[in-house]
Amino acid sequence: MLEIKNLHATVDEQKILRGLDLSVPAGEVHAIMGPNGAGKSTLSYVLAGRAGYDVTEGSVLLDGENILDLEPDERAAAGVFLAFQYPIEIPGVPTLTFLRQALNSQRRARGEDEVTTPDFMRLIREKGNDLKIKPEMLKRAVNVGFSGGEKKRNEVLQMAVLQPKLCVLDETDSGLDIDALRVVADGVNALRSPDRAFVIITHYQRLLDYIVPDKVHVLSKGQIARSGGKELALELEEKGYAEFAESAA
Amino acid sequence: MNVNVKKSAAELSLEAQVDAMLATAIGGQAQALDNLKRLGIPHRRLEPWVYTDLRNLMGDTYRPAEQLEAAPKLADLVDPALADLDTCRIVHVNGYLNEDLSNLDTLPTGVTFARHSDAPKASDTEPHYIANVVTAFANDILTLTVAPGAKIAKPILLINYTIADTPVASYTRTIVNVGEGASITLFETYRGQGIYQSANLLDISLADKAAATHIRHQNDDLAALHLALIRLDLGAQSNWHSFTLTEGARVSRSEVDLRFEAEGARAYTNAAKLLRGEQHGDMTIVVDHAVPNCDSEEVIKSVLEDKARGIFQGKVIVRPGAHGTDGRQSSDALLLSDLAEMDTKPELEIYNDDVQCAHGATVGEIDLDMLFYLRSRGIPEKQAEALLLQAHVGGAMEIIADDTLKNVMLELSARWLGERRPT
Ligand SMILES: Nc1ncnc2c1ncn2[C@@H]1O[C@H](COP(=O)(O)OP(=O)(O)OP(=O)(O)O)[C@@H](O)[C@H]1O
Ligand SMILES: [Mg+2]
Repeated sequence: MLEIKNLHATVDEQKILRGLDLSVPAGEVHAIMGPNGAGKSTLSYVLAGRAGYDVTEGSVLLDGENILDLEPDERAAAGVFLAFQYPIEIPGVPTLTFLRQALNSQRRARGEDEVTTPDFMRLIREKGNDLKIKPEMLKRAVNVGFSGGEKKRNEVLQMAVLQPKLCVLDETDSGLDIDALRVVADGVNALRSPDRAFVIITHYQRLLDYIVPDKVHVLSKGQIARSGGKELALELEEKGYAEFAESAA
Repeated sequence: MNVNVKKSAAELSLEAQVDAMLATAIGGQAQALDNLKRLGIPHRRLEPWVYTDLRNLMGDTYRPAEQLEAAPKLADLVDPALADLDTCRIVHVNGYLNEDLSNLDTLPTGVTFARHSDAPKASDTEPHYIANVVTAFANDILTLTVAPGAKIAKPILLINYTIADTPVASYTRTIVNVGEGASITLFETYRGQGIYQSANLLDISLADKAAATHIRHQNDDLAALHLALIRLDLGAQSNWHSFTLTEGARVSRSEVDLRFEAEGARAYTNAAKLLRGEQHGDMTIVVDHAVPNCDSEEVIKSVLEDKARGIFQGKVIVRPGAHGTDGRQSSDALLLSDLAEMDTKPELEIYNDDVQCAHGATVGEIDLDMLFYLRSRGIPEKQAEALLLQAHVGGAMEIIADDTLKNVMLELSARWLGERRPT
């Protein structure tokens, strides 16, 4: 589903990604771990199309289609979703209005009918319940006054409503208490399907006990330095990233 | 060398009109004419007009508007967004009351209406240009009186429409007296066609414990000049909630002069300014805390596109003895182009220690992180911008308690945002 080849990207003229290759087949969950500053969030922003993250070389294909030429909203309609490491607060825009406009924009872009108000409300109620999100939270402005954990749950709610093909989760587990981690992991697991792929960026092996990955990759110095099965996460937990710091120095 | 500034065509025309009337005018009107003759049209060397050089901006010469022979259709005068509102209409066309288009028979019990041309209030002798020009030239004065204790739910809609083939000036003058414990909702709208000047004076006095909600939609023709002054006297524990949406006129100057006359009153005077092209929109507010324990707040939100220029001048005076005063002002502008401009001039004149006064002004652009977040969820750029701009503007509308009225104003601002040209 996702094919990244020799991806080079700069931020502020600094080379951050330096020839990254990654292939995530449909139906699989791949975890990306790696030291602070390795370029994990950069990769997620490059995939989502954030301005200022300039691709200088390489390609990113989603189901065979090059997404690098698409605008961020076009990528979303094509099925890319990024759960932000730091979700943005948007004062004055009610969460419900935002979600509804997002869903209908994507549907319009794909030539599908818009959802009606009752259908939308039913969908939100159901997904919100699953993620233990209080209905009153959805009336508030997007992420404004949300606790850290509430913001992360709101990201997963958006993912559940928008039903993307490719879900990129950037440290969605950080800031979650143990119960919330379960709720979020259940939410993600409920979305696992043969025609959906996940890239899960995390620092903690614990998340991977709940969301069991098919593969684990180590991103270091802008490249995938090592790949393995889920046991790689345990190894990293034990040994840290010292090995990668030296080899790439 | 001749250092005298040469009089502009507009000034010469004004002078001729003044001269023609001076001989017969009496009382306040004579005083106003005299002030106009003496002071001319305000210009940028006068402190309150430093950003709005009216003499320069006026451009055209306007002859007094005449009553139209064929009355326009009501549907053409009322903004479609307001068409479904249940209101009592008072319609002025070219500054003349049009009783056929009004529905004065639906005036709620407790409100009385009078049309007269009494000698103006003493304060009209102040050398204030907008007050003078309206006092000098308005055809008549309308007075609305709300009986003590009357709670008027149905909004009174003051529709002002000007139609000009050649440049004309229309004037309206309205006095609203709200009795003790009474409440009213006033909704002013300004629209028109052609090159004209619309000048309007609204005097409102709220008796003790009275309340007024005031909405104003200024959507005059993009060739027009709009001038307005609202003078407000606030009685003890009275409440004033006002929201102005400015989207029309080539040049507009809208002033509010607010005076607290007794303790415990609260006044919220908010505004949103949506301007594009080469529009010039000035909002000037003076709040005079002459007595203790009154609260005032102004929240001004602007969105300026192209080469538009927005101005907010806010002056808060806290007089000696006016302890317990709470006076706040904020102006936040979003500029959508490098050539748009916002000028903000806050002034605090505080002669007292026991007060809380705050003012803040920001000028910025659309937040790119917010924009990216919305777009990453599939919302196209223009729509994402509209959501953010609507949220910005909506920040000034929270004081509108009535949801129907608030939704009308939201719809109007959404319409403006929807008319943005694709880039
Ligand atoms: N706007 C920017 N300007 C300059 N450098 C940047 C910018 N954004 C990121 N970087 C740099 O790019 C590098 C990679 O950052 P990135 O956020 O992708 O790391 P990360 O792997 O997600 O780290 P963490 O685990 O701490 O979240 C860092 O050295 C960072 O300082
Ligand atoms: Mg990161």
